[in-house]
Amino acid sequence: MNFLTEIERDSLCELFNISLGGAAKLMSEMISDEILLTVPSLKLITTEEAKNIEYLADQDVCTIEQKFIGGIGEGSAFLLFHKSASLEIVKMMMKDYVALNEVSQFEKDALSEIGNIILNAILSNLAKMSDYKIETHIPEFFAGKYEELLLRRSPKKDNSILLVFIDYKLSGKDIKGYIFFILNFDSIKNLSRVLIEKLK
Amino acid sequence: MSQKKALIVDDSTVTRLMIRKIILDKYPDWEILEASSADDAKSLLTDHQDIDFFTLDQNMPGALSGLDLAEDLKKNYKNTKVVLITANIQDAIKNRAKLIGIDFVEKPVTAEKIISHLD
Repeated sequence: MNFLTEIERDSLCELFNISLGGAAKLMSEMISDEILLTVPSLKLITTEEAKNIEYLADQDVCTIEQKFIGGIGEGSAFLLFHKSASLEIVKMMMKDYVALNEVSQFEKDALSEIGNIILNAILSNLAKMSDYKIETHIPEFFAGKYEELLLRRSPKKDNSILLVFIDYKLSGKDIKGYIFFILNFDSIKNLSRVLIEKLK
Repeated sequence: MSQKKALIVDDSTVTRLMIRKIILDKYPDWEILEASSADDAKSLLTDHQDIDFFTLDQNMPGALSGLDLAEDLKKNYKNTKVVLITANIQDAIKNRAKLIGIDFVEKPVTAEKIISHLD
């Protein structure tokens, strides 16, 4: 069975911790509010298991997916909001740039812009820290059931998928979101080895 | 004095809206033109030669990036202010921008960042 050793897990947690700190700062600037991040939790789970994640199973969600390819391998990074929170996020981001009753027209575009900036910041930091070259694709927006998102993304049923969940919360508001990565297990194992080598 | 003009080149409607509002809040009498790609911007320029301020997104659909367009613009609009907007300022982008002679702004776009290049 695929598993990560403690040091591999720690090295990846540290990588995502640092990368997300910078991304949270950017997102705070975009929405003019403080973002609180939890410590990243790495879960090695199958697509089937991912379907039953608490707070997400059977929920309507909006995601921005950033596919990437490079030394790290091929994967996807996701910024995910509950559907109910996404319009709130857009309102905060758009402030008075558009009238409030027009905000929904810009939902896809605004969330794609947020996703592009946040996920690119994480991926470029990841590339910097690992010395891997990473190319990103244009972000894709998805709105629908969380399960559909996973089925649409990766129908594999084996254990070769790693999901890195990072919860974040907006201070003083009941808005919660997630950032997660889908990477081939061998790629994530290689990434952790590179990081451990750099730490030595 | 003739009315000043800005051209915002960005494939994101939201970013164009934000930059438009930031400029108009500071200079309400400016004329703002928008293009969603470098090619669209070039077409617009055939009818509007007198642009005073350009903001260019680095990553746009089409063959030309913001930096490619900036290089072109600086040949024809030597004294015009050109600002490159990018989500990911890598050293290569920074160095090329300096060589071309343009400023850059890192996304997310905020009023302070844009206004500092307008004054």
